[in-house]
Amino acid sequence: MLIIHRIPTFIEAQLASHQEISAFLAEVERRAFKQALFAVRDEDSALDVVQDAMLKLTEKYAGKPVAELPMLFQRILQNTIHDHFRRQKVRSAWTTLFSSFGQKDNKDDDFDLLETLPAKSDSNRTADPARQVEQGQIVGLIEQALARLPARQREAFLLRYWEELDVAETAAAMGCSEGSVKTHCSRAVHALAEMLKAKGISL
Amino acid sequence: MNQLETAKKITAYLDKGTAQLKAGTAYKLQLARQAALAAAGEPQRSSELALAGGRSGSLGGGRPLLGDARLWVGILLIAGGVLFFQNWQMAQQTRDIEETDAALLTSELPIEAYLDRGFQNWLKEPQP
Repeated sequence: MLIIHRIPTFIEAQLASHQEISAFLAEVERRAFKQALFAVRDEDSALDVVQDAMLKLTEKYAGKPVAELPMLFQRILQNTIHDHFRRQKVRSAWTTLFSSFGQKDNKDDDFDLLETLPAKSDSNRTADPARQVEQGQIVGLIEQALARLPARQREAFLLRYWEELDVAETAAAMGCSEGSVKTHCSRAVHALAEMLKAKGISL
Repeated sequence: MNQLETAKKITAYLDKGTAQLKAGTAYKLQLARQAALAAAGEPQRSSELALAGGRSGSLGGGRPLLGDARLWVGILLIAGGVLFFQNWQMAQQTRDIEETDAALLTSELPIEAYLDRGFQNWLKEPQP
């Protein structure tokens, strides 16, 4: 009886290989970056957050089964975003303290022309340019609207609908009840629809 | 339009936005991924590890066995240290008492002298 029970456990525990982790990260890295960007609203910080999350996954959870990776990574990503805000709070306290020493705005110093070029994407090659511009604008407005949502609503919306986790998984990743997830999701969709409608966009 | 449909339409646009990520950002992400993979190295894939994972899972504990073993070794070391220190302290106390007793018994002054109040008063008096 014990042996019969053990066999599926053994099969399920297929550990992720180096290639599988690499493929998994390659698949999720862009969405993870966008998720971090919506939350922290700064590209460099978002990149740092994603890199930290990737490092945590590969260093601490490389021995986990492949099937557990998406859920684990989402949890790590959310925690890393929260850590970022915690650190920022401490840092801003020090910055206010020493603000009298003056601040130089060097935002333009590290301008990279390469970063202004869009990545290769075959899906848009043949599309109508006017339509492409319009779609790009809608994407921009949706991203802005998402960034304006309250953090928990945005988190719930992205995990539930973009990452396609189910309600229980989203609740586990966010550390709240399933009821809260449903409420956050409903409010997020409603708020997004309202914000887009105000901008004249009907989905 | 219901909630799910609206959400799906919004996420479709988000997918488009993700596909149009700047080349520089995509490259940085690729570098971050490579750095993370290099930091971890090639993970082990032995049946022993899989069994260990399975066992801890079936027991309901999320922690790997290795972590538990380390914890127990630490606890044993601390407990051993405390016991050793206690024994050493007791032995030290016994040795001190023995030394005092030996000193009292072998001193030229008889033991009764220490209990004699008159003798103690005489000791306290300033000597001429």
